[in-house]
Amino acid sequence: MRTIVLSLAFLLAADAAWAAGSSIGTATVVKGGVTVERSAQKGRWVNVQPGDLVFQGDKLKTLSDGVLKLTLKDDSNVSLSANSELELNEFVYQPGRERRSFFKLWSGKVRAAVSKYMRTSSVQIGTPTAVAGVRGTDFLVSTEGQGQGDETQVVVFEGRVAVKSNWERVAGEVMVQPGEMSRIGRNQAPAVPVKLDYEGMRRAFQTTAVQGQGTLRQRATSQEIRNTAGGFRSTGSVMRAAAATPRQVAPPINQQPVDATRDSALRINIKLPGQK
Amino acid sequence: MVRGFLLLLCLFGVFLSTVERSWAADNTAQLEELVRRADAQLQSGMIKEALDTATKAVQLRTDFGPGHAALGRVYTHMERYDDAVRSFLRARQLGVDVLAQLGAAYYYAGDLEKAASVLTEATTKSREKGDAWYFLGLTRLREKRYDDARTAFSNARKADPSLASETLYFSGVAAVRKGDRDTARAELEQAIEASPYSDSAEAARELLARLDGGMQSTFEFMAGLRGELDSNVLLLPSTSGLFTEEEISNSGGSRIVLDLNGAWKPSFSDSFGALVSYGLYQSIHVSNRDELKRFDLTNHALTAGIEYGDDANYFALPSQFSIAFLGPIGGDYGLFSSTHALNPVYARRFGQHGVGIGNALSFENFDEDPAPVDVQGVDYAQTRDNMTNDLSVFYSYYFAGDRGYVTPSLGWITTNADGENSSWSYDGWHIGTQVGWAFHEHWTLGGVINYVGRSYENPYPLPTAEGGHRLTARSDDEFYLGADLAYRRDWWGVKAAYNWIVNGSTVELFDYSRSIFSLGLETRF
Repeated sequence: MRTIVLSLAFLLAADAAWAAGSSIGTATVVKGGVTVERSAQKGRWVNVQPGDLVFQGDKLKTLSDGVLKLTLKDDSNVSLSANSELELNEFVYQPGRERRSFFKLWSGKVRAAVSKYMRTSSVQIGTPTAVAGVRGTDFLVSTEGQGQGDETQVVVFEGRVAVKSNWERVAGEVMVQPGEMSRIGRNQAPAVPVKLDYEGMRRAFQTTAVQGQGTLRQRATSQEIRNTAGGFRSTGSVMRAAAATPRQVAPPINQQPVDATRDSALRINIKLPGQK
Repeated sequence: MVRGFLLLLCLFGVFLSTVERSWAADNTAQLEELVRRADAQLQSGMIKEALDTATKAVQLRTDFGPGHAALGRVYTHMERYDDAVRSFLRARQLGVDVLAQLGAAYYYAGDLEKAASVLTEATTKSREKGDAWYFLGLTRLREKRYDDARTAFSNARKADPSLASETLYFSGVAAVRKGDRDTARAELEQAIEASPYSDSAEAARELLARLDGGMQSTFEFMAGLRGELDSNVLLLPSTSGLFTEEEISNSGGSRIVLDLNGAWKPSFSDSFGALVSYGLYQSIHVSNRDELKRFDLTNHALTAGIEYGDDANYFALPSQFSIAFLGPIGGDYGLFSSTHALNPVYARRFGQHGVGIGNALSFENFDEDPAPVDVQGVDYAQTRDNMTNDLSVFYSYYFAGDRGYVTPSLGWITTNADGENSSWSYDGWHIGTQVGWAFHEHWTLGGVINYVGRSYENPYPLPTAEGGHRLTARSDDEFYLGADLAYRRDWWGVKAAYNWIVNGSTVELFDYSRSIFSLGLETRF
């Protein structure tokens, strides 16, 4: 009996470990149409629901109204813009020791915010024309063109990203720094990175990360930035509101207000025409 | 035999226990999935579904701590802070480490004392909790304990380096408020470097520019359109006695009101700036009185002033010039009024309390052109110059983390009117309370209650119409009650208001009450 119980416990534990270990992350934000094709069920696309687990080999597709944010086991975030398709080819993560991943962007845009401070880390995003290898933490890859993925753009927000052609015979690799963008066409070497203007970078930064409702900390940050950003406008605003005392709420002269709900002290004396 | 039976019984017990344990394990996996799903639904904006899912988790097993914690997170997002605190406390009882989240709930609810207490406990137990340090820093910042805030932000950064940009920005804000501008500059620059395109970096750039003395300007635009139902669109008991009581009754109606306001706010430093604004108020009234079915009111107001504010002091000196036209649509006469007003105000804060003094001085020029009526063949058009002074003192109590205030006030008011066919004066006093409360991220509630007492002198020198009243003296007691509820998103909002005015007068003609319902849309940029 003891053997049976132990075996049962072992089997249960093994099952739990497999179930937990096989997923590589969670769909933490799902908005609009988002579908997934599991590797074991090729050709069958099913809707993704918030909280669904994702697995190595999954193909994810966002429709024209869809956006998706994945939070991976290593706390990295991957945001998929509308009309995009991403395949989760490989993901290996051993906390504190190793992280290795390769995702292929077949179309659209993907933003990856890679968790920092890993000793050994290889994070790559491939497209039909390029491979972007991450040395940094936050970057955007987009692929577009008449043919599928004729051109790839890599924009880096933080850290550095090495970009090269996905065709081995094309030599050349460029290192894209924060605030820069590199383009790479089919079977071509990557272009020398160009500096993007601040507004363009900021817009890209704001629009490509799929925002959820925000964690408690993120919400507090936004709220307090609003409260502090205005300088004296904000520090004085509460007092300013309170200082607007209700004096002269109703106009005081011989006749009554035309509109007592108005803030200004407008006071007009009116008589009707032709009145006797 | 007995030993064999006991052995069998023990084995059966072990079996049952194993089955129960494995069921519990399965159940736990299911509950964990519910928690994960609730969190993702919450982040995806499916708040109701998140609430249902988290509730289901705690219903399936009432002693499942992570379920209560998830429910607490949902409640916090829904701004049901009392429920959130209860859920986090239950999760804590069940052994889940939710001190940082509990502190965050207190912080959001504006209970800074409890937030600081819980977050201090959390950081004492483990210095590795970035979120707890971070919320403690924000709490200290609100409490104006700037050194403590900076220490907490520094510890948050050490515990979680991904918080570098936010913590450096807020640390810089604390340094500015403490007067240490060099430290502030260094930290704000580091905040930008840490995450150049984030909101905190953007805010750090703006603050740096202000510190460097560059003049920053902001433009604001507000537009509102609302409909109002008024139990007395025009109350016209003229002191000339030209109208009978019957004539002034039954004057309900409605109006459409358009409000536009554009403001330019240059800031000369972090504490000192100016305001220039233009406002247009246009309303079209529809009255149920036969004599004046439709008329309109137009008011243009130009305001210019300076404003100073720091943590403890607030001073503003706005000056306004406004002109107004009122008349029947398509009619042949109009009323014109122009007003100069100067409204200095000073307020000083002591923690949650504040005191202040304000004075409203205005000069009005009033003209009827031509006279709306002749009285016994004489043109009695009124022209006059009014001077009104209203001095107020007030006390304020701030609550809910400065998201709300109550301001009782007391004031003295005098008016003198001097003109052709229109010379009079009165003295009066007023007492009232104003309340404002942003009780939700998008909802605000406002209220006013006010009393004004006035004693008039010098009745009008106009003749009395037949059946009319000739005034020789008058004193009024006016009560005003107003409440409004507003829902605002980033650039638009909806506001509903109710105002009730009742005036008791020694002259029967002026005994009246008035109700105004208002509902409208507004937009701000």
